[in-house]
Amino acid sequence: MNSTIEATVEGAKKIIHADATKDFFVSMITRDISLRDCIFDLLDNAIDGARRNPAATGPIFSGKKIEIYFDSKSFQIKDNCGGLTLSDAIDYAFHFGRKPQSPTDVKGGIGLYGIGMKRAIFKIGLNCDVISHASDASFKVILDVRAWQAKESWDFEYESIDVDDVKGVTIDISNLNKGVALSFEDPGFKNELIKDIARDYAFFIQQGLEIKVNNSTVPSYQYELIKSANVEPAVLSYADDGVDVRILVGLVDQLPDDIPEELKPSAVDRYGWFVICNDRVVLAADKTERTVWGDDDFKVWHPQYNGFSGFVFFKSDDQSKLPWTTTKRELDASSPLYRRAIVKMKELTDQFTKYTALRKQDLDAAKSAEIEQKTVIDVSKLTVPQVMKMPTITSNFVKPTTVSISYQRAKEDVEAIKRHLGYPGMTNKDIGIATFQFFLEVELGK
Amino acid sequence: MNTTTPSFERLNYLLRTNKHVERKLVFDLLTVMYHKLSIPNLWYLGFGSMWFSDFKLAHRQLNIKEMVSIEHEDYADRATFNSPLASIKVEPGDSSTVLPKILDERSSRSVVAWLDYDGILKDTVVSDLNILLNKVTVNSVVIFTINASYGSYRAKISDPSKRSRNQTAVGLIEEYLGTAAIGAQYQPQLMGNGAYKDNVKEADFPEFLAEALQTYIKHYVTNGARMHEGMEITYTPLYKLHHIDGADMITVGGVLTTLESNELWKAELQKINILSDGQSLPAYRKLDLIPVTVKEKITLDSCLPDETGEANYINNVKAKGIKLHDDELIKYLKFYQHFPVFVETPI
Repeated sequence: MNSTIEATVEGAKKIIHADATKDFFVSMITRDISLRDCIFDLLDNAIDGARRNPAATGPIFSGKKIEIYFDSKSFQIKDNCGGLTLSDAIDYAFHFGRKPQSPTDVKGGIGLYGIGMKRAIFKIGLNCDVISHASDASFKVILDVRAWQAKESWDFEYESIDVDDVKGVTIDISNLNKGVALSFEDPGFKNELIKDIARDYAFFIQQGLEIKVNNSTVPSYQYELIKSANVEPAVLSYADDGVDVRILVGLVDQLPDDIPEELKPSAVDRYGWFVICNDRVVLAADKTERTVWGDDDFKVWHPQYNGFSGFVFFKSDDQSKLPWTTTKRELDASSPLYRRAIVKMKELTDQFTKYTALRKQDLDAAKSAEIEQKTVIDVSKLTVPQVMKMPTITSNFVKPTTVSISYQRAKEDVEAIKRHLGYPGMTNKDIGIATFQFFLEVELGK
Repeated sequence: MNTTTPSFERLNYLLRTNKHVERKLVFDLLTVMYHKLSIPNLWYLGFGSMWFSDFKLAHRQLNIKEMVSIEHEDYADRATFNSPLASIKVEPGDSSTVLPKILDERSSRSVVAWLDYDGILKDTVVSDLNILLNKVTVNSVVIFTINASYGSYRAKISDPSKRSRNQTAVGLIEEYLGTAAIGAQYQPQLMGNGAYKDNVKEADFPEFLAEALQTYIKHYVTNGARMHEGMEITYTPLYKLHHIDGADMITVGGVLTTLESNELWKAELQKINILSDGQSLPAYRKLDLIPVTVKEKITLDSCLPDETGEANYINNVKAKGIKLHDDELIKYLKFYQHFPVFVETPI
């Protein structure tokens, strides 16, 4: 991949040409985005189509369906979300970059005309048909990437096709790129894709959207926080430069008694900060400086905080104001809007982390108070501003009445106890507690 | 039953009907493929225990000479005594410890590795699997057998309304194999109070586990991006078997190939109806046949093969006096060519 740099002499001027080649362009735009995020770009475009053609009754995406199919030979995404109008296709949708006079995106949308669809096609394969049935026309754009790269013009050709009553877009890609074919053949890729779609598109699925991957329906995913007699999540709302911001902080799970030896990702994938832009989850379960942790000397994530969940929602009719990058996988750390939100996120995080330290003074009392009359509440329903409430722990020093017991034992014996108790996944700590308790009951009658 | 006693002290491995059928099915495919491919210096790796049944098949049907059996240190001497062939080397030690060295010493040679565990899937088993997948060369077959009883994985707790995710059977498998191995339809269900419940029935659990293991292996090999002579190594699944001789056990496995040779393996698999789903992938097959007597076998076999259909075959065998249930007759029809009968002989 390279730019073509040639020199010519034109009249009195000496010119060095630096036109970008198509090879270079294709290579650059596909290099830094993952296959999964390219598929997400195509989903975003379909969702924007649905937003332009909302359901007449019920939730906005009711009746809208997006189906994804792939195997080692081909990829298809098909929707019934209204289609791409011919005028948009001719003038804007296939253009590289946004033209100054292009129409504003759909209000509250998430797709970006100018990059997503082309990037996804180039990433996935060498041959593509884009078929659209919209209110104004039905057409097909046929793209042979190699042939397109070989010609000078950057334009694509289209042909008219028979009208279909179901209005939507179908993108068929074949002649898959090498690594892509291997990924599509991997059933683990499909399982992870479904899991990630469930998590990142949860708020659309909640509003009636149906998404299928190789005939498996993406399940709904609940984002919830705990509410109890002594626990209330914090809710903060404000407007900032044309963007509505809502920040929630609370407990999604019980706080741990102590630090576990090790944890698998699935055990902690509900903890941390979640950043959502126009209902699209951009960052999930973040524990890094991309949100607050370790940012500018703020405390880093600690397993003591397992159970913490924070949500920051950015909503705007003008999606260019949202603080995300073109991959929609990162936030723009230099965005003043985001920097101002980070300040508030840190304040609320601080309140929470102070509590996690305080509760150690009387763990039993803290645990009982945290779960008293415990229920869970969907984060979409937390809209009325309120302050965080956590149990009150007395700050007087209390002489500890417990001690720690720690010892080594043969792995074989520990495994035998797990089998005997019928709980293969039991932690070593819980085995210690169970065997200690057994002795207390049997030998001491307690 | 004392579950800490090694299984070979509780069971005579030679007398497990369904295990026998499974072994024959596994080796039938390997016999055809390895004769076609003419792989030089093929060797065999397994847990031979005291009976070495699979080792004998490997030698007879695949003409494999060099074989290694890993055995617990305490029982290695007894295993060596019982080894039926001079070319079997009993390697004492824990599999996770000795596997790397055994494989490194033979790294350029294809292997048939069948690790037949007594117990359930756990971290050490996954670790052994990873070692094999990282080290074996192309045209090596990797097969694992583990316990697939639902009750062995689902935690027995006093209050099911407080079941945590890793206390569900699927949640525990997810801890060992990772989330990518678990299909969306099997994910544990989160209840309103924060507790979880399994989304797979007890009867379906072995099939779920077999599928999860196959997905894990495929995903692991794809992500590993190993190369062989400039070509990517890929994994082609071959077996998804469930046999019951007492406990539910599953056997899953496949072959590591390059894209060049995997079509050959797929084509051969597709020819074997019992193993294949008709689309170059292994079908889930349950082997739970009851043992039959010599007299019953002779009578049943005298009516086979029967191309006229199940109903006709059942009528024929019943007319000859067979008193087995229809379900068992249909199973026998499917697997009769691999079915053993065990007799006592004076020695």
